[in-house]
Amino acid sequence: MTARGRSVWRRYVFSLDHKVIGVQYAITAMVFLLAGFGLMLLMRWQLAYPGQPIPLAGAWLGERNAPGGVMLPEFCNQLGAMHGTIMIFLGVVPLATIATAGQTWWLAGMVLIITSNLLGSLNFITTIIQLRAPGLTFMRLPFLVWAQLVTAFLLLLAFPPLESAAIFQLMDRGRAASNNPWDATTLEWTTTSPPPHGNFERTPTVYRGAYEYSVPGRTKDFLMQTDD
Amino acid sequence: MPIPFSVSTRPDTGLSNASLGMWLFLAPEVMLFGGLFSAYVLLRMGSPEWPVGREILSFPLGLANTGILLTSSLTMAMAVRSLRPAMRRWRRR
Repeated sequence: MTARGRSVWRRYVFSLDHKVIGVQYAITAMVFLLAGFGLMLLMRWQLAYPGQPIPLAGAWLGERNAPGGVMLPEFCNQLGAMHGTIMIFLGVVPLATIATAGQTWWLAGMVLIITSNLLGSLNFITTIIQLRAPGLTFMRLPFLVWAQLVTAFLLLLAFPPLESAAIFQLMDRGRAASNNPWDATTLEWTTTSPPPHGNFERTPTVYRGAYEYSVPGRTKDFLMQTDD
Repeated sequence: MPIPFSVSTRPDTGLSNASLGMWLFLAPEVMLFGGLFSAYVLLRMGSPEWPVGREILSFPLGLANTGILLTSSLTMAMAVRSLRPAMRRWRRR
């Protein structure tokens, strides 16, 4: 059956035509780029002007998430987690005293994106190896295809350990760690994770350098910067 | 147009698309479960005590899980068995 005879659904959504699939990739990438960008803007705007209602968008965030248009810190963290999931750049490691839903969503997103990436790389490698035209040897492959093959192998081998780490962290959800679970000395471990708006509940006082381990005459092995 | 080598084997690789995909799929599986098992070994070796399975797990749930696992492999084996004559006919064509 020719492409023209098929329904719009088969031709554009569940298409087997590589050119249409390429356009699907581009559109999906742009939609998610804009969605992540929008969440990032909301979050950063509220951080820049704490306590002030967000213009325009504040009204449709809902009274539960942003009473009077002012975003609650929990909701800000959820947006941050969603933004991180969409951008797949970096997320806050969920060593949290406050179990926010955003971190669970972020981990679930990691597991899903890694699984879909794995299947995608399998598809790329198999297609490149099996469906080369007769006479198109590996040394004659276009450079882009070579780069894609190498990238697919990297994804195939590097992502599964991250996926198992995400699965373990999902199992850890709900078991809260303390603010400073591994006895670090630096300032960021004095605040909660996720931190409140403005990062600290009150402005911390710093008495010492960043790495004060085994100070003579002290009982504790480590001293935080805020210990006097 | 059908996708080439979805049933027949490609002469220079000696594999069909699905068999190559399955062989490749084993690599990320090894990495995934390698991570899970090595984390388990590290946790178990590093912890001073380890709970006894009988005390923290539920017997009925474990029984149901085992039943589901066994019947799922049974239906898989039955599917492969009944596909075999059809595959032989397909190859001869």
